[in-house]
Amino acid sequence: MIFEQLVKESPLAIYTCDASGRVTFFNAAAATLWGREPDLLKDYWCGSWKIFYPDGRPMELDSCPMALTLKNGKPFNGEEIVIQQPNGVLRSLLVYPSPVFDEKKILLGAYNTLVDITDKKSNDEKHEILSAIVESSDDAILSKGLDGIIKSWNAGAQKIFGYTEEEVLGKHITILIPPALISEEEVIISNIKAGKKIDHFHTVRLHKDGHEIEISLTVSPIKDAFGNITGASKVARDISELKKAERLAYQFAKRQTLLNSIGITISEKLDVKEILQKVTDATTEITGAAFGAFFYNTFDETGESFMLFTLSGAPREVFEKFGMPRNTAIFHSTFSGEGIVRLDDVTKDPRYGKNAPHYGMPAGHLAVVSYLAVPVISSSGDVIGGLFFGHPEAGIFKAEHEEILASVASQAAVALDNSKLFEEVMALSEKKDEFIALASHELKTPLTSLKGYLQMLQKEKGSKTSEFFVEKSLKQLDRLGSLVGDLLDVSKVEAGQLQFNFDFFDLHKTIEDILETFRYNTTSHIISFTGVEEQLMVYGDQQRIEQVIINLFNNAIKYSPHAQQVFVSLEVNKDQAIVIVKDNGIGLSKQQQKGIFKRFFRAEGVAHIAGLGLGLYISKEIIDRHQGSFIVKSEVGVGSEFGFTIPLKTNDIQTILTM
Amino acid sequence: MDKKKIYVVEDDNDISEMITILLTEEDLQVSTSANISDFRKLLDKELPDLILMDIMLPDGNGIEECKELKESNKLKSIPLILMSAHAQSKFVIEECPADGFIPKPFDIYDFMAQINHQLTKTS
Repeated sequence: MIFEQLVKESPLAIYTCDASGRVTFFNAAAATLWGREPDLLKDYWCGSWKIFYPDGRPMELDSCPMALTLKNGKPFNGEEIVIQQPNGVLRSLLVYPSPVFDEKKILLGAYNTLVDITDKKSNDEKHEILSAIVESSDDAILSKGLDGIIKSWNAGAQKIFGYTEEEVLGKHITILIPPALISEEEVIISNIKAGKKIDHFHTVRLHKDGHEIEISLTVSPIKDAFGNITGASKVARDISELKKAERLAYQFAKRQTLLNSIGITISEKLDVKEILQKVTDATTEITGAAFGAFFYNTFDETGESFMLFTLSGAPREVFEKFGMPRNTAIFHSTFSGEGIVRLDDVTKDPRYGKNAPHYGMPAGHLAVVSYLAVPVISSSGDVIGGLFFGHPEAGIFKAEHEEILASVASQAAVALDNSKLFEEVMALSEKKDEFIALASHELKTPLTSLKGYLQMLQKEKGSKTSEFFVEKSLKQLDRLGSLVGDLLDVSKVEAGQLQFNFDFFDLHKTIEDILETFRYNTTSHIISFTGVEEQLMVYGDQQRIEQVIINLFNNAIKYSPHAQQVFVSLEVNKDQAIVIVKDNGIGLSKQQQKGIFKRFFRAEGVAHIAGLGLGLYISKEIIDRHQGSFIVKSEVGVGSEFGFTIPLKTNDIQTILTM
Repeated sequence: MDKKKIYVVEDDNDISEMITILLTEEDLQVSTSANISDFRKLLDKELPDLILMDIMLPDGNGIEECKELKESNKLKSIPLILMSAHAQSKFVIEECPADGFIPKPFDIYDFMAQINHQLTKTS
């Protein structure tokens, strides 16, 4: 009875068949496993709905292990099959069919025990998948005990660190850690012991052959069935390439910035020294040189000679104590323009150390092992100079540096050519101003005696005609005098030598006086005045302001040949006096207005009107120096308004006084 | 009354001649020199009533010469007027103790006014 109950209620699925294979008994566990209840004495071999081999092929019912056991009289000890329940659920089973004989060895039937291994099986599969993943991963995946002894090692680890599994299993993890970083392991282990994970820690590890590898490390604790931490799993990703790419990208960006800055300097600056310094600084940085120098070629009577110009990375004294680089074998190919010289170790070059007196670098010379020299050749083909770079370590300079330097050198050559031209132009311009100053002085000398004689002649009583002619001549002489005066002023403005004599004066009185002279001498136009009718003290150079007003009057009359009136006004706005001279003349287009303050500017279509085009240029300078502003309003065919503002006496003239 | 004596120091012969005519017509006695060393020789002989001197001279600068003359007790009382086609009057007066300045070219009426002003000041 006990046995019968045991069999019926056992959690193990059990059933029996008679010798012909008909199911004679099954327990509740078997029915649960099958998902159905077979018909006793009707269903054969077993109660399964469908049976499969473990690889998934369908299994005939009469080929099942139970059928074979009955057929062959031999038991199976844990044959694996897969059954499918009517609801579609698959179960993996180990079956143990065993035949039962009587005393005469006649087959009575068989009993079968079914063990459900579905869960275990899926765990195994998972494990296999995980193993496959671990093995096929490019990342190094390894595990170690808390003592640091390596316990597992995948193919990725072999690829990254170079050791095979056999070589490292049982070894201490520190074989992978650079001596300087050994303390990292303690930190990692103490984190692991505390149950903490380390994520994407960027560090450096050693390859079997000794070179360093940049890796990103993730370390997780391994726990046993009881939750105790027994070790750590490590995933290391080789980020050397990534880091290299990052560095390259950074280097390129930096290089680009430097090249741009060279480009800007070269295109914007015309000062040789500034250009050379910029080029030297930037190229020294790009090449990674310890120091760089730009030797600028100057030729003396003996032929080739060089002079030190700009330096980067080393103080000037370091070079100066050795004097100029001489035409030694090592320098020759650069200064003769043969091409770029790049040496990983200059001291091993056959050209090195052949020249007296030093036979190599003099004592105290900056240590140079890596050497790079680039000739700078002008558009005319002359070698203008050379860029030289040095570094105390060997093999610093690379082929890529040659390319960059060659292009920088050619840019620098262009810039040097340009600045040379610029210097020539500046020198010519200076000469021209000197000439104008001299010429105007020389012109004034005959004017002086001419004017003296004419005025003396004017005093003599003569015929009406001769008196008229003398008067005309004197007027023309004054005109000539003011033209020469303008020329002299221009040369002074250019040289920054236009002098001013600031003082307080009455601007109203000044205008009145000029008006009087003009009214006396001008018959073509009526000059009318509006505005302030009383004393108006301003701070400035009275003679120069007179010069401006006279210039504006002359222009207004000159450029309104068909009008009869010129309007002058003097107004006060806050702390400024405003003088405006208005005409109904030919006017200026917007385009023309842009050019009026330039030297020698003449409005188009006014060739018939005399003038040098210096008046407004000088006037503008005068007003600027008075902290005033120039006013221009003009319309073609309608007329022009020219004027200026000048600070009143009440203004904070302290700023002007300190000018 | 003796004619007032004026020493003109001017290296341009034409100007020098013109000034001589002008001053002679005004009843003044004129002695000219084209450079400073000749002028000094004249000074050694006789002192004038007025000196009229160009600034840019072949052997010196009128401004410097003016400074020297004005430091001499014997000469400092003689009125000295500088002339130039280059400099501006006010700056010349600021730079040296000249009694007057005449820019070139000049108006003969202004010129004579300055000369007479200086001459009457001393007499």
